[in-house]
Amino acid sequence: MKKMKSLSPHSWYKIFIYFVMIVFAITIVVPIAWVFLASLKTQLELNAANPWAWPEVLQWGNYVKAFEKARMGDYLINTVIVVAMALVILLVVALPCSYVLARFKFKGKKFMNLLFMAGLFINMNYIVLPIYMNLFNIDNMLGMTNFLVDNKLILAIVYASTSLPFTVYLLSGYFQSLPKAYEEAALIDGCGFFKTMTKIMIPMARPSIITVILFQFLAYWNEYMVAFTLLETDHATLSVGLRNLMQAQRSAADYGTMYAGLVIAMVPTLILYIIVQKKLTQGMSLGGLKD
Amino acid sequence: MKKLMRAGAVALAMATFVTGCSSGGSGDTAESEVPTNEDGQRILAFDAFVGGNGEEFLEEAAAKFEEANEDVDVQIRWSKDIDQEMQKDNASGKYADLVYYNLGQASNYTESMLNSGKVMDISDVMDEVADEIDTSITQPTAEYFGDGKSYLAPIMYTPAGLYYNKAELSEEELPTTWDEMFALGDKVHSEDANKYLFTYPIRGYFDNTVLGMLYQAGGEEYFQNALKYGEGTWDSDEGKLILETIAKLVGPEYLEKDTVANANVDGGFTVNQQSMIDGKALFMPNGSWIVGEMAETTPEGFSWGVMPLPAFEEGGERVVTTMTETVWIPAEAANADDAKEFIKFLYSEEAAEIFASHNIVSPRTGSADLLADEQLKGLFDVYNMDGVKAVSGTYAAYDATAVPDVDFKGTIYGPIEEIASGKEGVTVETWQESLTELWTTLRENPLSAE
Amino acid sequence: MTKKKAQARFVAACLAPALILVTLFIVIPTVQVFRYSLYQKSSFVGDETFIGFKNFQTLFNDSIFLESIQNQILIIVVITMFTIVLAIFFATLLTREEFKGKNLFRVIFYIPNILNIVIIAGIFSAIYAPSNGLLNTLLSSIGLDSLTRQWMGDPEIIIFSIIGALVWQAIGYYMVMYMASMTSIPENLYEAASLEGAGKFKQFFMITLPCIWDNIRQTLTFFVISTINLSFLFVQVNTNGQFGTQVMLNYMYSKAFSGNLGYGMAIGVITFILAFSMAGALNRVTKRDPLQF
Repeated sequence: MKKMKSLSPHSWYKIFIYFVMIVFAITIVVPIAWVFLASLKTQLELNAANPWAWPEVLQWGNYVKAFEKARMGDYLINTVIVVAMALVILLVVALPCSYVLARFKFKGKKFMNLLFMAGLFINMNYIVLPIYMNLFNIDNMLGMTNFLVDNKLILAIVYASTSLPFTVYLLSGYFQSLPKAYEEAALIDGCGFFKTMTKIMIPMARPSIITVILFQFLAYWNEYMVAFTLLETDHATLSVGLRNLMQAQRSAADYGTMYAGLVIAMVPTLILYIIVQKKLTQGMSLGGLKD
Repeated sequence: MKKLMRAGAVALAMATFVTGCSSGGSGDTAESEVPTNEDGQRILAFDAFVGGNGEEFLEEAAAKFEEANEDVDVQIRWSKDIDQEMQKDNASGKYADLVYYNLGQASNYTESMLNSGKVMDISDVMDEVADEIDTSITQPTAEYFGDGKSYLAPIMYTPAGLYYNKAELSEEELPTTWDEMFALGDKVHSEDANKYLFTYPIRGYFDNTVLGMLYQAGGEEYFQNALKYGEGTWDSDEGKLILETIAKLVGPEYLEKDTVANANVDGGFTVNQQSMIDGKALFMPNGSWIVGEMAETTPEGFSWGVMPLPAFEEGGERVVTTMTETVWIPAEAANADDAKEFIKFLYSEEAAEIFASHNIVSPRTGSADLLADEQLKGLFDVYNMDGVKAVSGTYAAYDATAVPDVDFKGTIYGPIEEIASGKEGVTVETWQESLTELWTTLRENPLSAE
Repeated sequence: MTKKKAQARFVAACLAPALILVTLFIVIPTVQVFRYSLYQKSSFVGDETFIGFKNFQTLFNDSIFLESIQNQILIIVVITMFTIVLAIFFATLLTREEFKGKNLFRVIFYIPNILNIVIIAGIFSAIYAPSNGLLNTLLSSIGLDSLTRQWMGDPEIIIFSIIGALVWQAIGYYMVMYMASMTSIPENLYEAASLEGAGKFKQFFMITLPCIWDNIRQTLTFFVISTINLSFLFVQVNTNGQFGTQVMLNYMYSKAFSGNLGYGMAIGVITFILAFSMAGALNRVTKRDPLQF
């Protein structure tokens, strides 16, 4: 009784805050930690009534199986290639476009802005089927199989193209906010348009470029449906490979390997996130949008 | 501006190119020459579906076949999505020489090939091997159109009855009628509240149960009529009896309580299979592959058994549905001759032995005896039980494009889990109505030859 | 005038690649979605027959499609409500309150957003498993047996189980967005209110909420668009639309891949329209004069 009296309303409020914060944090941390635990269990242990029990012997073999059987290593490499290509294409295409839209007056500017704004509403998932169909039909006309379809570069181009509207919206907003004085000076100094853009303006837009890279990296890395449709199983990315692994291991009643696969896919993302979390959450104030 | 113009022109050209191209029809690529490989061997292009049986059984059979036929090179393309691969090839006029792809798949690929006359008549092959194989198993599938001609070659079969644990239920304890079945359920559940009569992996596993019940309830004629979406299938006493029995079977007293929740989640079927193995349920519909599928988590002392469906009345017919898997030759195959030889080989003693070493049973007579695993061999004894009728059949194909809103499996099997979980507004009556409606729709939209 | 010409050339060169890619991979496919919705077309290689609006007519008699619209709207509305309330709640605590470990909480809360939807589906299968699921065993162990449920096996609950997973995934993202706009609210507004004796509760409704209102409105559009997508992906890898959990884009895919491409595209068109009109309606309903400071 005494103790309770000694707590002021303010302390109670503090306790309440900690309580809700910790409860929500637990709902996030515990299931993820449990996946790590589960990835080290035998199937019999996973079948057991108590999911919280510690494994008797840590089953590192699950990881070996996940790497070998599901070829997670290959998928990881595929994903890195696709994501890297997509980011390069995206920036090479989006930066000049955003700069021009932000800084120049020309005929059709309104139309371009409108086009990109409308594009914001159109997500890849709606249009992946026609895209696949067109690629397939072009392949067919050229008399080839799997030239455009099942091609990592094409997947990267599709990723870059479908994220252009948002990226242009974000980057041109940033370019607009930059002071005009720099480029005027550069132009007077005899720098050409191109040089002014690459040497002066693009370096100045670094913070927003980093935001774009961080956001799109995650989006591409985690993308599932388009990769699933465009690439064949042998050349799949991590998400698709993970999905295949999940189906295969559940069918084989081998959940331990499945959880090991989840961990393999999760760890790089988590590490990267911890490294860049500050930048990532700061970047959102530049105007976030999600897929 | 020039650059932009040019770019615009390219985009425009691409646009017309892209939107303008619709599919070309099937090509006129009936090649007369059989393609050969670098060593001059004739290529036998074989497209095969990767399923629960794995790849080895056919790879080994092909290797054996090549040994005996040195001038043939069997090239097997395995894929989980082989139907899509084949559709793409077909669109550009390419056909395999042999296909391993079953009826009743979501894509309906085999059915639509059959119905558009793109599957070769292989009656000569099937007649030649008829004496060596159990035609009661192969015929219903092989003679797809029921016109006495064979189009499909069933190369393996399995009894798709109700699987149980022999260590738990002796043969005398096995129910022979549905009444006995439910009485057994009441008994075990009252003794142990965590024990139930029945579970199912996922709703799709009811397919063979429903087929068997259709036969039991109305006999051969009713069964065949039902497979062709004939009138009076569901809005009849027979139809009602089937649906009521299933509804009772999945009621809260008989169905293992977690079944629906597990069945709803991707891959959850192994969890339900496991709970049957763990003794939480006595029976489940399955096939003989279950022995291998769950081997790692099946405790010692567990012994797989399969029983035919209980009869609707004392002394009534007991039915065990037989599932077959098939190969077939596309009509436009370049190397049909070697494909036919290979099919004959698949029915040989040699192939049956290879199959048996992978726990697969060929329809060749006596092949079940080749199985090394006694447990597995025992499952095929179900065919030798007194008064048991082996039944197999597939639903006729329908024109899915004309009736895009039809959800075949959802309409037949969906209400099972809804009734099981007590969803409001779903009863045997509503199920019966929607099935009657579905049968009418499908009857009116047969898949016609293109 | 060479400079003007040079400028024009520069502008064109900068715009052309983006224009070409957007045309090829957004504009044309979108037009095709609308076009094929008017055709009977079995698959991407099948023949096509123009049938006008027949696909749409069939759709509005298709009980699964109607169910998928219902589910979709329910999912969008419930997820938006819960996520906004919780995200604003946590954002307010993390910006307005002083306590230890704020940064750590912010970092943790954002984690679900970076996870792959396939991983999230895997995690929630384990959470919602009936007998040895994380949630049910946890409830039993703290004496709340009465709260255990068949999370994925009860037709009344399953859709809310899916919603729960998606809210879990979304809170951190929106929380960080709201935090960004909350930190830009001038501190003196709060000081003034505090001097006038306004408590935390009052301050929230008088200052915080009006100041971030525009930001909230902006996120409403994101909610509509992203929920349609995420619910699709989650359902696709989890229940695949069985047991009354069908959502629009998943139905589109399942139809388009099973021999009814044209019909699937018609579903896509209606999804487009729904997304636009919901975003528009929300935008209109929530219109207030922004608070100036």
